[in-house]
Amino acid sequence: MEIQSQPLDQEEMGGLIGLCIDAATKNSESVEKWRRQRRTLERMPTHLGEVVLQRLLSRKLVYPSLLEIFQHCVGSINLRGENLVDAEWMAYLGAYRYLHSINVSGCRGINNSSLWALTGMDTLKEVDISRCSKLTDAGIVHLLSISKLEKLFVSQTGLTEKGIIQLSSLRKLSVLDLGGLPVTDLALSSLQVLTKLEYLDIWGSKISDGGAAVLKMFSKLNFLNVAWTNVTKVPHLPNLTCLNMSNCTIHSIFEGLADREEGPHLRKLLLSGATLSDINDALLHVEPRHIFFLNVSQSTLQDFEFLGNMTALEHLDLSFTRIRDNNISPILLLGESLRYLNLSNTRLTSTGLGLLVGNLPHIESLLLTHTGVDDSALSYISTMESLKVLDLSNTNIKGLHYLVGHSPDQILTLVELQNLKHLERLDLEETQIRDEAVLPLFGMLGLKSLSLKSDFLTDISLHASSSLVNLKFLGIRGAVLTDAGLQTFNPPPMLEILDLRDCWLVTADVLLAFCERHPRIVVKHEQYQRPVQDLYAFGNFSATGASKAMQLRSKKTKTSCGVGRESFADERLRYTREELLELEFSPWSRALPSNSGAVMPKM
Amino acid sequence: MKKEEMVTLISAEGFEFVIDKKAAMVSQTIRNMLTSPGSFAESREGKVTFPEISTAILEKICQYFYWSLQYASGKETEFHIEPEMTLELMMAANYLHT
Amino acid sequence: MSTQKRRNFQIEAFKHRVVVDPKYAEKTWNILEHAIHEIYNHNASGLSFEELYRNAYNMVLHKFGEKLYSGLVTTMTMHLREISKSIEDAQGGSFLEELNRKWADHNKALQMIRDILMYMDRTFIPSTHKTPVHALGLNLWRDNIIHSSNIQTRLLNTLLDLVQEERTGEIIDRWLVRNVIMMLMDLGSAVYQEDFEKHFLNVSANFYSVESQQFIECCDCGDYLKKAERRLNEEMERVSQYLDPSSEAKITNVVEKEMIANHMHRLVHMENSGLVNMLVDDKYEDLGRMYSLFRRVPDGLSLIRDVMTSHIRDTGRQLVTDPEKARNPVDFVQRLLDEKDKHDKIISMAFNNDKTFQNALNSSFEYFINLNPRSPEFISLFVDEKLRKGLKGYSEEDVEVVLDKVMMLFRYLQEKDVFEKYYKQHLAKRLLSGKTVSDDAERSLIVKLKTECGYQFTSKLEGMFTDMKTSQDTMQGFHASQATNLGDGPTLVVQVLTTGSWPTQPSPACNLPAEILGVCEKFRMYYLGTHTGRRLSWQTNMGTADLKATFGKGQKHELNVSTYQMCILMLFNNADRLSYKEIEQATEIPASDLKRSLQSLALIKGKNVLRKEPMSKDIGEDDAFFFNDKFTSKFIKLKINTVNAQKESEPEKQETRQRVEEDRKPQVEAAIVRIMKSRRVLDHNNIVAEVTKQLQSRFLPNPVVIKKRIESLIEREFLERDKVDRKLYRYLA
Repeated sequence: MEIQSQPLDQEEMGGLIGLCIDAATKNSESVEKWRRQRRTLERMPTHLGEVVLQRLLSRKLVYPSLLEIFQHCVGSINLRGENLVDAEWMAYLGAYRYLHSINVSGCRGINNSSLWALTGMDTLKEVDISRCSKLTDAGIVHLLSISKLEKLFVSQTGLTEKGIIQLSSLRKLSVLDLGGLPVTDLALSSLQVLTKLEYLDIWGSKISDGGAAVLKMFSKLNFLNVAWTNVTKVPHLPNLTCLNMSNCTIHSIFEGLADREEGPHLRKLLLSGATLSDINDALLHVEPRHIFFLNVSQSTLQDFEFLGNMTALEHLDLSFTRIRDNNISPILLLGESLRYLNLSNTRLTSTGLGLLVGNLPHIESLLLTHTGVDDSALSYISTMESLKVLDLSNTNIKGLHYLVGHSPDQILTLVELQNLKHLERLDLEETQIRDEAVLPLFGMLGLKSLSLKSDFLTDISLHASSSLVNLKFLGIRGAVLTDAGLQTFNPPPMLEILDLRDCWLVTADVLLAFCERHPRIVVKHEQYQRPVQDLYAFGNFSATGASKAMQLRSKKTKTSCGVGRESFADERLRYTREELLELEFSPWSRALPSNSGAVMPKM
Repeated sequence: MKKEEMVTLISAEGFEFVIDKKAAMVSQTIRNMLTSPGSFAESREGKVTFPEISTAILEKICQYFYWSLQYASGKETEFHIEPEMTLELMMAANYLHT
Repeated sequence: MSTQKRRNFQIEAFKHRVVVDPKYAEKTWNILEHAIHEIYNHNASGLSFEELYRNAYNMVLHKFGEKLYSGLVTTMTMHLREISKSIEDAQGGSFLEELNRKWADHNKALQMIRDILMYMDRTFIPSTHKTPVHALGLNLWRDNIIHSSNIQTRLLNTLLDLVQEERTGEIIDRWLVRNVIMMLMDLGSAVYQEDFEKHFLNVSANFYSVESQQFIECCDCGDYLKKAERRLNEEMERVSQYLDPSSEAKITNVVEKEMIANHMHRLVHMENSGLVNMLVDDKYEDLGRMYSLFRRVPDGLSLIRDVMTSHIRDTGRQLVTDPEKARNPVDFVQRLLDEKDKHDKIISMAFNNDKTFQNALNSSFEYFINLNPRSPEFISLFVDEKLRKGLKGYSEEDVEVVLDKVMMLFRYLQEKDVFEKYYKQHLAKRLLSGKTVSDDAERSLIVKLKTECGYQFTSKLEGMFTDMKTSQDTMQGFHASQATNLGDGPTLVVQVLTTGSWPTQPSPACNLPAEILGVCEKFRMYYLGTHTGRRLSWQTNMGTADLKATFGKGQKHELNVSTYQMCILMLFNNADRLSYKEIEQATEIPASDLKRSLQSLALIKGKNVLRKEPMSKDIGEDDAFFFNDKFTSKFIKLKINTVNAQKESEPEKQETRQRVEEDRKPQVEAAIVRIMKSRRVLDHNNIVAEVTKQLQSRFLPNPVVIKKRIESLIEREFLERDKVDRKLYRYLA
C-alpha cells in the first residue's frame, strides 16, 4: 500500500486550517511558541505536517533539530537547493518513520556520509540527490539497501562508472536520472536488468552507438534523454513519447522498425544544436503526426520541408537556425495547431512574417528577438489575435514611421498592437524606441509584463505605465530616468517587479526610499540589492537556481555595468532539464534577476 | 431564540458553549453530526462533547465560526490566532473539517 | 547496525515518544464495529456520533486506515449476508417488499456509516485510490444481495411477472416496483441494464410478437391499429410510472418493431379495411392513427405514401380516361377538383400536412391529368363556364378560391400552351359577346397566369382587354360625331380588334344588307379619319345583331341573332321564299357557317322563325326556306344563337392541335438557338435535355419535334454537324 499525502485543497487552505498555518509559520518567534508541544506534533496528520514544514522551509525558519518534531507526520520532503542541508539534517530525516520521498538536489552540503542516514529506509520510494557535487560512488552505496526505491535522480554528482553499475541492484527502479554522469556502454549494459525503467536520462554521458543499442532492452521506456552524447542512432523503443537528442549528430531514430510496423507515438522531440546531415533520413521512422513539441534551435538544418507533415505541432523552436523569408513556407501548413513559435536569432525579416499572416490562428507565443523585422511587421503581427506573448527585442522596430517626404508627420506604429486583446507579455528591449512611440502601449490594459530597454526613454514612459492595471512586471532599462521621476512615480496596482537596471542616473537612496514606500515591489538595480530572504517569500519557482543566479548576476553587473547579455560557459552544469524547461515555459521566468537570455536553455 | 436553533458544544474540561446552529454548521463535521439520519445522541440532545478539544481551543473555534459567518457576508476583519495555539487549533480545525 | 548509529543523532528530549497501546487499533475498531452492528440493528439512538467519528479519525491518524477500511468491508459484508438470508426467506409476494425494506434500511445505515467515517473518506481513501464508503456500500449490496444466486433470478422473474400481469390487465403495486427499479439504477445503470432491462426487452419482444400475430388474424386494420396504439401508450406509461426514462426509447422500439414494422405490409393491404379503403371512405381517425404509428418505424411512411400514390393514380386515370365522364367538360374538371379536395383534406386531417405526402399527391395529379390530351381544353372550358355564369353571386373571396383551384390544375398541365390557345379563344368569345360575369375575376386570373408563367404568356390576353376598352372609347367618339345626322337607321357597335391579339381566322366578309353597309361605311370614315395608317376589315363571322320582327298575327318579337343570321333574315324582308342557293348567293356566307346559321333559324323548336322545305334534320343545298308567319313565342326577346362555344368537335380539335404544333416550332427553334449560342458545341442528347428543361413551363416538347427543328436549323445554316462526330452540333454565328 502506498500512501500519498494529499495536498490541501483550496477549501481547507481558505478555512481555519489555512489561517493556522499562516500564523504558525509567520516567523521564528511563532515557531518557538509551539515547537515544544510534543504531543500535538506527534498527532499531526501527514498532509498538515508537510504543508507546515514546507512553509517553514520556504521562510528559512528550519534548523536541524526542528526537523525531529515532524518525524511522525511527514512522508515527503523537498529540500531542493537548500545549501544548509548537511549530514546533521539527513540524520534527522533518517529517523522519519513514514518518509517515502526525499529531494535534496543541489544541496551543496550533502556528502557521501550524509547519505548514510538513509541506509535501509524501506519506506523510501523516491530519492533526488542530483547536483550534490560532493557525492561519489562511496556515497551511493548507502542507497543500495533501499530495495523498494522506484525513482532515483543522481545527475551531475561525482558518480563514476563503478557506482553506476552498482545501481543495477535497485530492481524496482522505473525512473533513473543519470544526466551528466560518465555512463559508459559497459555501465549501461549492466543496467539492462532494470526492466521496469520508463524514464532514463543519460545526457552528457559516454554512451556510443554500441551502448545505445542496449536501450532496446528497456521496453517500457517512454522518456529518453541522450543529449550531448556521441549517440547517432536510437533503436526502436515501442513506448517512447519523449526523446531528447540535442547536440548529437543524428543519423537515424528508431532504426530497425519494420517498414509496415507502426512506430512509437513520439510526442516531444528535442534536437536543439543537433547536427543533421539529412533530416528526412533521420526521421524516416518517426511518425510526424503525433509530434506536438519540436525544438530544432541551433541545429544545422537547411531544409525545413519536413515540418509540413507534423500536423499536430503546437510548440516549435527554430531559433538560431537558417530559417529565413524564402524557406519559411512549411510553417504555413502547421497553422491550425501551432501555439508557440520561436524564430529569434534568424535572418527573418518583415517580409517573411508577412507570409504567415492569417495562417496562425491560434498562435499564443511569438519570439522574434535578433531578427530583421521592423515596424512594417507590426501590422502583420496585429492580425494574430490570440497572441499572449510577443518578444520583439533587438529588432529594427522604432515605433515611428515617417511618411514619405520630409513632412514632420509620423505614424505611431505600435498602435497596431492594441488589436491584440489577449497579449500579456511584450518585450521591446534593445530597440530605438522613444517616449512618444511607446505611448500606445499604455492603453493595453491586459498586459501583465512589459520590458523596454532604450537609451531614449525618460520619466515620461515610467509615469505613463501607471495606467496598466494588470501589470506585474515592468522593465524600463537603460533609460534616462531621474531620481525626481522615480520619487513621483505611482506604480501600477498589481506590480510585483520593477526592473530599472542600467538606469544610471538613479541613486541608491531614492531606490531604497521607493522600496520602503512599496514593500510588495521587488526593484532591480545595480545600486540596490534586496535581502536574499525576501526572494523566497516571493515566488514558488525554482528557488535554488534563482538565488544562485542572482548572486552571480549581481556580482557581474557590478563589474561590467551596461553590458547587455552574458552567457554562462555551459548551462547544463547548473540546471537540470526540468528546471530549464520550467524556466523556459514559465511566463515569469524573468522574475530571475538576470537577463532572460542568459537562462534560456541551450539544449 | 428557539432551542432548536442553538447547539451546545462541550469541551474536554466540561465547559459548555451554547451557540447558533448556523454558526456551528460552519464545521462540516458538526453539520454531519446534527444532520445524519438515524438518531445519534448529539442530534437528539443538541449537545456535542469534544473530549479531545480543550476549552481554550473550543472557544477559539466558536469565535471562528462567528467570524466566518461574518466574513461570508463581506466584512473583512482579521482573525487573530495566538502562535501558542496554532498547532492545536489547526488539528481541531482538521478534526472539525472547518 | 544502522539503527544503532542513527540513535547517536537523536535528541534527548524526544527520546521517549508516546508509544501507542499495542491493542489500540483493535480496541478502537471493536467500538466502531459494535456501532455498525447497532446501526444495522436500528439501535443507533444510544450512540455518540462524536465518539465514533473521533475513533475513526484517530485510527486514520495513527495509520490504521487500512485496518479500518478492511474491517468495514468485512462487517458490512457480514450484515449483508444476513440481510440476504432474510430476503431469501421471504415468501411469495412479500419478497419484493422485504427487499425494498432492507434496501431502505441499508441505505440509511450506509449514510450513517459514511458520516461517522467521513475523515477516512476525506484523507485516507483518496490517497490510496480506494472506493469511497458510499460507493463501497452500494457495490457490496450489489454483490451480496442482487447478485446472490438465490435472489438474482428470483428478482428478475418477479419483476417480469409483475409486468406481465399488468399487461394482462391486473393491478400491481407500481410503487414497490418503482422503488426496486430505482435501487437497480442507484447501483449503476449497468446493473439496471444487465439485471433487468435486457431481459425485460427480450420478454416484451416475445409477448408482442405472439400478441400481434393473434391480432392480425382476427382484427381489421383499424382495430389492429387501435390496439397497437394502446399498447404503445401503455408501455410509455409504464416507463414513466416505474422504469428508468432511458428505457422508453428501447421498449417503444420493441413494440414498434413487433406490432408495426413486422406487419405493416399486411396491414396496409388488408382486404376491405386497408389503406385504400380508409382513403375511399375518408376515415380520418384511422388514417391519422396509421400515420402516427407508421412514422415510428423505418419505411413506414414511405409505404403509406406509395400505396396512396398508386391509389390516387389509379382512380385519377379512370377519371380522366373514362369517355363517359369526359362528355361534360365542366363536370370533368369539377370531379378533378373534388378529388383534389378530398385528398388535401386527408393529408391535413390525418397526415399532419406532411410535405412529402403533399408532393406525392401533386405528382399523382400531374401524372394522370396529362393522360388525357383534352385536359387543357376542359380546364379552359371550366373557367369559361365559371366566368360566364357560374360565378354569379359569388363573393370576391369565393371567386378567388375557385380561381386558385383552377390555377392549381393548370400547374399540373404539361401542355400549358394548349391551355393558352383554348383560353384565348374562350376569352375572346366571352369578351365579344359581353358575356363575362366579372371583369375583376377575369383580370385576377390573368394576374395569376402571369405570376405563374410570366409576361409573355399573358401579353396577348391583356391586349384583348385593352382592345375592348379602346373600342368603347372609339364608339363614344363615333356616336358623338354622328349625333347630328342620326336618322332612324340601325345602331352600330364596333369592336376594333388588333390583329394578332385575337384568335381570329381571316374570313371573307359576307355581303351585308345595304342599311348596315351604310353605317359601316360611316364608321370606317370616322375611324380612319382619327387613326392614320390603319386598315379595317370586318369580321362578319363574329358579330351579333338585334332585330325587330313582326309575324303573321302582328305579334312583335325582338330577335338576338348573329351577323350571319341577321343577313339571312334581312333577305326575307323582300321575299317569302328563298332557296338555299339563293341565300348563299346573296350573302356569300361560307357554306358551313351558312348551314349552321340556317339550322338554328329553322330547326330549333321555339326559335324557328324560318320554315324549311322539305322538313328534315339537316340543311341540304336544295332546300327552300320560308318566313314562318305562324311563329309564336311567349318571350318578347328571343336569342337565336348559333351553337355556343362548346367542347370542340373532332375536326376542330385536330385543327387546334395542329395550330399548337405550328406555334411550338418557333419556340423550340428559339430554345435551340439560345442554347447553342451559349454552348457553341453540344451533342444531340444534351440539346434535347436542355430544350426540354427550358420549355417545360409551357409544354413538354416531343424529342422527334426537337430533332426535326434541329435538322431545319441545319438546313438554314444556324447549326452544322461535326465532321467527325455526327452526334455533335456546332453553332454557326
